[in-house]
Amino acid sequence: MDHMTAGEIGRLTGSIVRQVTDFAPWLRNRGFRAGVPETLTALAALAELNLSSIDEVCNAFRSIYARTPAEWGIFPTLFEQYFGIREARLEEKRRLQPDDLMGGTGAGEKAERPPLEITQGVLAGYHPNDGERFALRADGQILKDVVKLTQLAVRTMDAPRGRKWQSRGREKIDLRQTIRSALRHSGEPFELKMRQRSPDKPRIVLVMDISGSMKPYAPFITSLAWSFTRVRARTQIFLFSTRLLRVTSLIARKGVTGIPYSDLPGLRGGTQIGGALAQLLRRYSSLLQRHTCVIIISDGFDAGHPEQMHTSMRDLAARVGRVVWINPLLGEPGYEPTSVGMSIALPYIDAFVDVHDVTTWKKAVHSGVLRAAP
Amino acid sequence: MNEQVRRLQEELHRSHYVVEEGLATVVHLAQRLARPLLLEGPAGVGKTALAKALATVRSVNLVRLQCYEGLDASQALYDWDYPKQLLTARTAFTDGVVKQEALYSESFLIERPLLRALRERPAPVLLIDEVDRADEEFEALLLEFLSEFQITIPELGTFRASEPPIVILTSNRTRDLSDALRRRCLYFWVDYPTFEQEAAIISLHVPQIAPKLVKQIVFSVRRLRKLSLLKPPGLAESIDFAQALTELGAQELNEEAIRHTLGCLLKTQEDMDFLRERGFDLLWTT
Repeated sequence: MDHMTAGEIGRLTGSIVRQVTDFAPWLRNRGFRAGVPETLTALAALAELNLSSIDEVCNAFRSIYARTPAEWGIFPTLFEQYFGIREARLEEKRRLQPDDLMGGTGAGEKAERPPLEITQGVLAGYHPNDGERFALRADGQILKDVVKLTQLAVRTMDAPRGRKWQSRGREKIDLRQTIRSALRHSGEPFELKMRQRSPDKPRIVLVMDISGSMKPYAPFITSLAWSFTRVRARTQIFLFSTRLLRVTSLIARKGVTGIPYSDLPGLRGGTQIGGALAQLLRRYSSLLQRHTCVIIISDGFDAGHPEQMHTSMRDLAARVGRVVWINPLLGEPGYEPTSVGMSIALPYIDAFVDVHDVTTWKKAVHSGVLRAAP
Repeated sequence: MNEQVRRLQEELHRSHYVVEEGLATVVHLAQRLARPLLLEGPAGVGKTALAKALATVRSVNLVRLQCYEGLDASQALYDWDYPKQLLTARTAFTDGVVKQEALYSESFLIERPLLRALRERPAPVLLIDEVDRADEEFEALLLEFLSEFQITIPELGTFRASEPPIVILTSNRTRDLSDALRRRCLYFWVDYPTFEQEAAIISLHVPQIAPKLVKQIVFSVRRLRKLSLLKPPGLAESIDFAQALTELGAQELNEEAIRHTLGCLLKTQEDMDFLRERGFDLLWTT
């Protein structure tokens, strides 16, 4: 492949046009969704740019070809690779990567993150017993499968009627249709047409246990939580161990790349389910309505006071429409939900299911666990 | 640097908007290629402010469409003046027969932001703010507008802009936008500014502030952003913080000054508790 050099780029020759034309297919092989419209825009942009400044061309192409923050991050490296410029600097960056990964300082911090960091990352938790820090990685393929299933699950949920649906006990008049109908009756609106509103989005509150005993299931649970932010549902996501932490936007933004431990302040060892639910009830009461489906993901090992667990579960069940408890241990042979926390919670749960991977999530979705009882 | 890009950078600076070369290039391209510009990035980095500054630079109106859940065509594109239509229909029927087409003429049409942006002269800057808050259905509504700069009203026909407006969309990534929307736009990831840029921005907005205090403010805000707060302070918070400190006559950061102005930086009780636990001196000690 011919490469474009800083000297050549000053002349918009057929060779340059061909290189730009070949750039889109080359990017497509690297996961970009670049097509003919992007190539045409890039060529049009070249006419507007100072071609002697390769930075300016790179900036412009970046805004044309990159569509997501991940693509935005990786584009300059790919641009350099394709157009064959600044090879020495690229090598320097490669040398710096291991230092960066190992937490090196100085020059290592300035090095660009490798592509792997963009597509995969870590969600970190804390071990309840010895405080060991662990890191969890989300898997791209799992994410893809889980999003499809979650979409199906949300579609089958009963869409609640929100405040928009009715106003002071009356349906709203559809004036547009009423006037159209009035034209057939000498302008008299004999027939009032009512507005047909699409149902409101389902409301979901996801409460995830991030204690050490949940470590083996965390990659899947991370994927599951992320999938709820990507489907048609009003979702709020919370993490808890000793403290409740709302992470909806963090999961929405960093679900794929992972959330570093430093992003989760105040989560220490030990699991206090009752305390976390009490915080949820107290601080986020506006989220807990009769249309809300609360999904608790935990193995039920509670280190808090049983009385608090009982009070919290009772109040939660009374407040919301449906409580679903996902316990990954339920699929383990010989497991019985006899722990104190689990046995206290069971009477207040509408559905108690084992979900720990894509297969079990599929099974749960098809059995309609998120659907409210008739 | 391209002369036009440099000029745009200067003009934006005069409108109190400090813009880096990359963003200035993309804004220039968006104008020249008549393509919408999608800005993504953390809250409070100046995405909305760019549209306002651009409108000032071009001396045109800023038409703003604030997106929210449930936003639909009648609030974004156009609506009909139904009471007027009903009155006209009844009056006309007493006189004779009314033509249905007459009720769906321009005199009954109510312009909403998108239609207004198409018809206004000179072409305004259209800001479609926080597009990620709107539903997916609304994104589909936008597609015709963003690709062709036109809106089709079934009763009247298609309105096409002879002079396309400059369209800026912003998103905080609370949900993913569709590919169809993304591929119609140029894209730019607006990140937090560098130390020097942020200091320049604060000095521009609060000219009376002491340079030493500016450095302290930028240092403390950047440190806060690394603390994984629930709501990290953005640029707007930095400027508010600087203005508040100036109002109080503070010459340097100290515990008392921070205690009185913390509400400018942190916006949740959890974040405030977290900082109190860590100690306020975290913000100025190196």
